[in-house]
Amino acid sequence: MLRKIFNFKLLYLLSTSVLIPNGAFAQPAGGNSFCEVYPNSPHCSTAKVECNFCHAGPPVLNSYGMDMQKEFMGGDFTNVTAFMAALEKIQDGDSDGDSNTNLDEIMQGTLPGDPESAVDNNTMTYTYQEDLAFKKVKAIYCGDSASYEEMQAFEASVDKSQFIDSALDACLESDYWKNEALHRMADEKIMPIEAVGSMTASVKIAEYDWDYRLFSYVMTGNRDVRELLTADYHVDENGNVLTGTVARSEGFQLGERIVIAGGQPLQANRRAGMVTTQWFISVNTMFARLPMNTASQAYRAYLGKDIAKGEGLVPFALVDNLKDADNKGTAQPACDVCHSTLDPLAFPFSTYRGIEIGIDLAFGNPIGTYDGGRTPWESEGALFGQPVRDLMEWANMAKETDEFKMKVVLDLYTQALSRGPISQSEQEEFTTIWQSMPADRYSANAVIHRIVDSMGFAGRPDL
Amino acid sequence: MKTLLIAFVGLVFIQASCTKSPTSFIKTNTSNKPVSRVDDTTRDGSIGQDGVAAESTDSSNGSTSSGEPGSMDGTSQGNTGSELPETGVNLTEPSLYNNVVWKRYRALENGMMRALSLSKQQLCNELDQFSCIDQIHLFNLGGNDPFFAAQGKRAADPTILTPVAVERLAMHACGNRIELDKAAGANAVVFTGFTLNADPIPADQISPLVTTLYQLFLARNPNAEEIAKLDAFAKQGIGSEQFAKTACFVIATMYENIFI
Repeated sequence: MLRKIFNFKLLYLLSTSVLIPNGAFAQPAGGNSFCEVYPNSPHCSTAKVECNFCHAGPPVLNSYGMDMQKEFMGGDFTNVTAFMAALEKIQDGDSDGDSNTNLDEIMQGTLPGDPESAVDNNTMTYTYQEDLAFKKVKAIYCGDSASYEEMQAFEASVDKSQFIDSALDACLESDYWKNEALHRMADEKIMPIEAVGSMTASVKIAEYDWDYRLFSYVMTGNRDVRELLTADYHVDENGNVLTGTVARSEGFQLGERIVIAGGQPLQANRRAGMVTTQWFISVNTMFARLPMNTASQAYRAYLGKDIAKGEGLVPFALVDNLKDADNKGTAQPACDVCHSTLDPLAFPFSTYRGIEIGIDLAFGNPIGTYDGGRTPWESEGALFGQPVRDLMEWANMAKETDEFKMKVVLDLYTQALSRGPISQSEQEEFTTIWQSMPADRYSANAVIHRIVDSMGFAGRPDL
Repeated sequence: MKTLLIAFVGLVFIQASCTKSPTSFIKTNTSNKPVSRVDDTTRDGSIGQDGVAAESTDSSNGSTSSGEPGSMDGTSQGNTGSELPETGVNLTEPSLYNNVVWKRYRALENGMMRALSLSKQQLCNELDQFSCIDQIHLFNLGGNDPFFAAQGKRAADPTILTPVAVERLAMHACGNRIELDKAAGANAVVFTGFTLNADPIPADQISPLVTTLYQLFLARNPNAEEIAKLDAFAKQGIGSEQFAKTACFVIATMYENIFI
């Protein structure tokens, strides 16, 4: 029993304090305390301390978490000093047995409780290979192979860097990049289902083509990628930007083929880019009153936080009558670990209508529209521990976060290399790229140019 | 029904390919750990045909080349996957210098189409109707189909069936080009200056053909060693058409054409 209480208390401590970057509640400011002890750790400068720092998967502790548990035994969990002392006490150990001390792992940004997360002992130097960069640019951004003639021209060029830049710019305007590569990058965000979302769907609940077009539009032409979360427009099949509502392309049908939606019915002043398209609301919210799935997908797709993996848990102190708002029993401690983040994350989405059976499905186009009276929860939302009044505020806050920048860059980095940064030097390059986004005016093209210029993209080890 | 048919066709051809494939470009991994894809590369980042580093310098143009073709009987000229060189590097560990990029389905398709002057329709269709790239082998060539197959993401690395898929593609494409050039006669577009029905192969036609194929597929000239290997193969008593098809296949399926 004591162990259970202890586990819960530790979990509570870590989830509400270590994981809260700004110590918003009456809990010890563990995140701040951790970074007071280790101010130069990448965990404090380029990423947030996540659940997997101490947990194999909440509430199960990993080896580092268990070592922390031992040091806390009998301690005062609200005592910041004791918390910091415990961190220091186990820092010279090697909790995960990977031959690297906990301190080394903390300072290198790896996980001291995960033997697969290893310290980068790579001391090799690299040289940027321009020919390699050019070939990769052709394959990755043009969907093509460099030809013999192109390689001859490249070899003959005086300014190879300029040659690569020009080739890249051309690729980023290609049909392949705009209408294929970017679409495939968007698949996990949009999650299309042909049977219910295509123009010929058997049961059409929305049209995802709008989502793909909007994504590609924002991610090209040096536009501001923050519009992924703030665009109040849509893009039609001819590339025209539409600011008004878009009527259904097909009327209501019930029979062998069912059509209950289409177009984009949401008013412009309630739009938040990709997370308020009719498809996004329809396929994620479905019949839910509290659209947790919609919120968690937005969190995962655009902020890189997958709550199902214990990522991005930043509990928000809800008043009692908002705990377990939809009466699903989520106020229990084991559920509250995630729901104290998830529920306030979802409240701002709750005034957007999902699939609701009613006469207006036949005579209107209600799915994805705004209804301020749908639930009483809209204004009680929170993102990263900060209160937000509605989805507009949610989106405007989200687009300015480091998490959003990192997610955009990680998507593009992974699209290029089929992996994220894997070494310390690549991690540093990665950090530089996302931190440069404001100076680059949040242009995806600028991010891509920086990726192509990185050693991770075209560096070869000096052997 | 259509999906089932496509799946069935795919399986049939995969099985057929497994029994026919003369080469395979991915090493057998018996360790259950990812095979290092970079530590066994050459200085220019490409990988030898048999997974072993191979490097040479083409003195004619100064470029570094690598990836020597495997022999035609299914074995390689150099070390095999089970005879790794003494590099002092543990080849079964994930590499920290992982910067080789898989040339995925569209880049591979477009490269082959241009190399062999084939249209998308001419390149490769299983049962003459299902696109090798967009339908049958899409996932194993690095793509994903979210709409009909619910594949929200592509494979991060080549799959165990990727070699089969690449070989199917190359075999179709090379065969189709040869058939077209045979029919075109003097108007052939790739196998020009090469007598496809000669036996034995005219000795003076081997090197130019090899050079042409290297330029078309790998965007560089072959070095002397690479030419010599295919020249030796050509003199083993096979006919011109068989040599042309095999040389095309071997060069098209080299690591260098699949990884960058």
